[in-house]
Amino acid sequence: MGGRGARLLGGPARAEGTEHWESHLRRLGALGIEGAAGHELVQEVARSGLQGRGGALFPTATKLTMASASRGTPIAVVNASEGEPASQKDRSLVELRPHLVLDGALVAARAIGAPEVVFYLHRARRGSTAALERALWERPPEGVAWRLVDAPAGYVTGESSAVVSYLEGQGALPRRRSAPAAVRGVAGRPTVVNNVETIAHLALIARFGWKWFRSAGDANGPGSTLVTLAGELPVPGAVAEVLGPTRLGQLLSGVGGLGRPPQAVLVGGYEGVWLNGASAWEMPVARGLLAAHGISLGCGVIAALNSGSCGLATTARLVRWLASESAGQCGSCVFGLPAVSALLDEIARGTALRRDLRRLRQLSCVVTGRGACGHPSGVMALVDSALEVFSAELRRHLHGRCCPAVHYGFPLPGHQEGLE
Amino acid sequence: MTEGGWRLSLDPAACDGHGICALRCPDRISLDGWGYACVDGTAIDDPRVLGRAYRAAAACPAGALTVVPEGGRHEHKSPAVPAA
Ligand code: SF4
Repeated sequence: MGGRGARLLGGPARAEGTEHWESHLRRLGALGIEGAAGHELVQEVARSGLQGRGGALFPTATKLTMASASRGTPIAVVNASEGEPASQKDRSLVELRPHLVLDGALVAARAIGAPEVVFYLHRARRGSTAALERALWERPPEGVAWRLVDAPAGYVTGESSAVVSYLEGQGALPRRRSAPAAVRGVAGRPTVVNNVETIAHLALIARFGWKWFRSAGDANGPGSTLVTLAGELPVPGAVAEVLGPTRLGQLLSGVGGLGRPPQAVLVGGYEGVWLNGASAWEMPVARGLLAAHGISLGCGVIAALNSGSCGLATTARLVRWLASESAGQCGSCVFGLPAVSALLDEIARGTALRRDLRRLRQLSCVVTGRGACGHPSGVMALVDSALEVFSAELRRHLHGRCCPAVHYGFPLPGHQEGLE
Repeated sequence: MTEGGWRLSLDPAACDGHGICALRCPDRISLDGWGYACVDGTAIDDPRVLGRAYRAAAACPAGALTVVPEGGRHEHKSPAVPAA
């Protein structure tokens, strides 16, 4: 983690654990936003160009502006649910730098005039819950009410409309709302839901200004970025902060401990896309630049696939799990994803026929873009990229030859690695 | 919001696959292999099609279909998905 010049992860080494209040204050000084007007804070964020780091990359200032212009008492929500199984960055931030996250939450609350901040997190994650509770106890009173809400488990429960729905006392299901949550959210009140990393950036933007923020990252994806290096690596699950020009290979070797390019890389989480390992090795890890090539870093998960592993079998396994994570509301998701999963299983086993592949491609058109949330589209983006990147394996599989080795370096909740 | 333009909007989470809508307004609605509505949500210029769109919306037992102002919000946006 961290390293020289680190921002979010600057300060004491990871091994030292949670940073406490005194150390945080000594290192960064007081937040000092008491005198700032809400609109000044919003403007600073707008100039910084900060985008949501939960994956959607929505401009944070737009949410803040909508909320401050809407009627009702606003609520600031910090989304720490991190439902992406391979992602570690949000829980690491909360666990290691809780005061940075709390500072950022204060900035968000002050910007929109919210008297209340809600933390949406899994209490079962003991480390981050304990760090947060202790940090709240360490801080002096700050004029906002902090509330910790235990988030239900699941892949789609962290989707922002699901968060709002849960805070309204309903199930944590993605909902189509008649207005954005920032305009009319929880009980009709303007509700700004931000990911933990986004919130932590706010704490630094308020201290050091938008120009400083933009001096990392690139023009279309400003600011430093947290990534989780996952998958089949000698050192899996490490979190790194990318500040300037960095090639993916540097991260995979320097932090992940990989000696040479892997077979393939899954970028953006389990609903991200596969890229060929050799070309991805040279790829710059820069949000804006990648976005221009249609690649989203999303939640920042970068997962490597070994040369000995089967990309199709790995994808089939992920899709089986993702299909089971449907919230069960939309026809295309409820029926489409299991059908896609079944076809992929056939392909992975080497028992699929050409017409199964045709059917899979048709399903992709039928399922993509049709759910109330992005879940089915995300799964199909994963599948489509797998068919492309693993096209040579696909041909072999269609001739009844499946790959000999399948490793399971991709964690899934409730599954034990390697025991399938 | 554009003046006067209308379009169909489907709430996919509410659609139960009754399929009546596709009979009422085949111009804009088809059914997928499982019987769920696929809606063309672009602006409707032809008043006759608009009439059929209204009848389709009124016929939906699940209340999943609405005619909304073009550019109006009742639009589903996919969040959080890195499109490739
Ligand atoms: S698309 Fe799937 S996960 Fe999303 S709301 Fe519909 S059923 Fe739920």
